[in-house]
Amino acid sequence: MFKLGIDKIVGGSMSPTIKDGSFVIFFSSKKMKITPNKVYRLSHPQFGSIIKRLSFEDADGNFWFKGDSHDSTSLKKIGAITKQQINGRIWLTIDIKSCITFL
Amino acid sequence: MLHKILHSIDKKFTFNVSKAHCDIPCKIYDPIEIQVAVLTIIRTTDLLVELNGKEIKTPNDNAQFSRLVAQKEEHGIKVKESVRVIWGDYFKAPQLEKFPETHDLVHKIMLTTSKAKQNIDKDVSLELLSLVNRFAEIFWDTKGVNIYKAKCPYPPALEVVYPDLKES
Repeated sequence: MFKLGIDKIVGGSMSPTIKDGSFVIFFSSKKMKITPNKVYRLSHPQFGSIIKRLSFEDADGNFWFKGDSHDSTSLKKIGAITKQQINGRIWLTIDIKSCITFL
Repeated sequence: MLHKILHSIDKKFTFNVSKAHCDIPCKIYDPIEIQVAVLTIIRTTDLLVELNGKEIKTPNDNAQFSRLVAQKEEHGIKVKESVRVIWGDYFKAPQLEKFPETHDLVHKIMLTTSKAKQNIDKDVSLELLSLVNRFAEIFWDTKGVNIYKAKCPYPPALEVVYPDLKES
């Protein structure tokens, strides 16, 4: 099933791509491709709903994410993410100046 | 305009919040929490020594002893965690080039904190304070902030490096 949603972003770990206070529009579907360098919405057991950029998929089929900012929680701290935890791909962002960026 | 519209909708219906999570609030680094944690270790060490000197210990004394040991342990962990964040996230090539001693200093802080956690040893905890004061000196220098040394206005009343924010 295709799903479209809006999230409000809190925090600067995806800056400068997605700034604190921006809104993002995401989509998800059963056939959603998970591609390195794209930005996804994850359900993390410790951090809750977070958005991060996919770094790589390991040999066991787990996904490893990191933020765009140097201050972001590290890839290691986020840990291995399963496909079931990825619940959306960020399509576009609308920052506080209403500037729209497609990702 | 579009952001304003979304903001108004958010106020009424509340969108889900996704966190772009950082280790700590972005760019907020301050070694004072490390220094206060070390002062707490010194203070709890003093109280433990005092309690240990009692010939007869009541159940309350024993409970207090355990509580102090737990506090010392907790603040030791805090020292290590906070030093690691500043060293790992804030210190980058320019700061390390200016202060090449940083890696060695951080390693010494880690080892000395372990010692302070493992033992009730005032000398070790004082050595730890001297190391974290040096760490604070380096940190503020890299930020272009002058420092001054003053006795902390509470027990154990020891000399601590503070940033002189009025002058900077």
